Amino acid sequence: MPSIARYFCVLNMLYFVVLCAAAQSYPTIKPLQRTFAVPDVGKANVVLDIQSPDGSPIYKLQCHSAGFTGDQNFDYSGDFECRLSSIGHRDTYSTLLTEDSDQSRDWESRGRFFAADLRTSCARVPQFGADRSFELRGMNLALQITDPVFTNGGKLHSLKLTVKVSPNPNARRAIAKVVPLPKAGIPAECKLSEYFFDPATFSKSR
Amino acid sequence: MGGVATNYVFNAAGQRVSEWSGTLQLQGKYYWGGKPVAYYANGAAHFEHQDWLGTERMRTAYNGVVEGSFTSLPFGDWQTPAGDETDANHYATLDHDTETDTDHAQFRQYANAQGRWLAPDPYSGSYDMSNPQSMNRYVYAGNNPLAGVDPQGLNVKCSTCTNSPGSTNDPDFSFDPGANGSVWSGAISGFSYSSLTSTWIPGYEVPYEDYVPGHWEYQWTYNNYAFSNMSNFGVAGVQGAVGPVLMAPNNGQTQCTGGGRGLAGNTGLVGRQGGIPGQTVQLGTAAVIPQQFGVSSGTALAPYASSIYGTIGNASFSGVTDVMGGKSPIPGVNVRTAMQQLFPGQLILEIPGAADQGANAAVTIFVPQSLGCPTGTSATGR
Repeated sequence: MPSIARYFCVLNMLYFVVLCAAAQSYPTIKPLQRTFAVPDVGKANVVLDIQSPDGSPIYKLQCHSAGFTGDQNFDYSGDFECRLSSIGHRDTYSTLLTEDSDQSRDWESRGRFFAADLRTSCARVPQFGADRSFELRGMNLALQITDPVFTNGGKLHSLKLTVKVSPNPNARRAIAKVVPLPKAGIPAECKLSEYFFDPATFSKSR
Repeated sequence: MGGVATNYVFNAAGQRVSEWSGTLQLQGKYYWGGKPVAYYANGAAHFEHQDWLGTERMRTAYNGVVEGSFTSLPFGDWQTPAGDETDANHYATLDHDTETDTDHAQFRQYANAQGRWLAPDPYSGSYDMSNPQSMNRYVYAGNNPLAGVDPQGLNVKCSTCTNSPGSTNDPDFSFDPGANGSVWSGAISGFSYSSLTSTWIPGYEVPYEDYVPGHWEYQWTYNNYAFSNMSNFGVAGVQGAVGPVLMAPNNGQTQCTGGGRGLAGNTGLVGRQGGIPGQTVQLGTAAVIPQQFGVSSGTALAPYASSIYGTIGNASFSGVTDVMGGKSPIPGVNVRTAMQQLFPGQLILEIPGAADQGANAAVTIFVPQSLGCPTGTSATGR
């Protein structure tokens, strides 16, 4: 092989090695914990920037109720839904909280809450109840809902949302790590199979 | 020369109901459920007993005494009567002509020895691109005489089927996109053959009647759907029903037609609460882009979701249960906007369980009038 060709070959390899390394690393985030009071879930408007240690915004967490029209890039559904997106980066996924690499619906993540998820025994189901955590992009993101208040008709009226973010160098996935849907020991009223997309059925749909 | 003519009177369905010699009535015949049950002749009543095709197999007197019996092969060939032979009605409700050994239907003559009609099918609406047998214009009952009959010589009726209207294997319910610019919708798949035909009676007809070249049209309504029947302008003023065809929208719906992109939906979503509040994703329902229907979100579409139905390409859907979303083919652009950029001016639908219909697929969609036609379509029909 001529030396010039060998030179370009090595250069190409280096380029791809650098490219791959860049794809695997995510900016370090600054830990945070913040609690939001949502007095009227129907008008929920939680917006929080997740920042780097120097204060630069990296990700945006938004939580609203179904039908919220202030975000054209996401169709909110359920009783309360949180979406995570990048700032200054063009995402392909509508929410980084999804676990499905072939995500085909905006609601396809554990970021969507229904009133039934937050009642007594259902609220205690790990990762599918009131406390949910997401591992992705070098961080842990936890969403904790406390003090839910329901109307006489059973609708979710108000709540408190605590967001905790902490670095996790082992979280290398661009979207949330897959959390299996529990198959047993879950009360029927929790309707996990109706409200959550089972990772076992993830498949490319379009 | 010098003979006496026998006159026959037929009812609106093309069935022979009486025979006359001048002013003398020779016979009167009675039908129930489309099949002959008895006739009165020579001062006595005779009762007819048929198989599932309407082929007469036995005839009895008023006191139960067997007067005659008949055998034949599947195409009506080798018709062999035994005993009394006082009525021509034998094979598959057709009248047998002993002089020519053929069978008479209202619009054509049938040669049972060949198992073929003696004339081509005069009804162009019986062409069915999905049924090669319909291309042979002489074939009898779709070449399947054990399942179908053709009492008028115009269109096959499936004697053993309980298909829904529009089913391609029940040609009695045929499409008529040419004459009427509309197609059958999957949304009426719950109708059965019998429930529909049983409602085709005076009283269900709406005051619409029009003569268009070649046939009359009637429309009537049932269960908030509008149907139409085309009747050939038949011989000697007798009109024979061809078969009902779903026609125009009703129930405050607008029929919209146009083009679209039909995507195969992920069946793994079935059973999940979709993006439309209160709607669970089901096979044969659609995920849509709400903005294409003039609303801002899946929640805003919810009041209309169950009233939207139609077809795209070869796929049908009934109800909207979800909002398209998720991973976008264009980074930084949400999937709804991206799909509209990739397929401009087309209605985009995703149907779990359906095959991909490609781009520019024909769309017929029924929407509530208050919603208006979605992107890529415009109002059609009456």
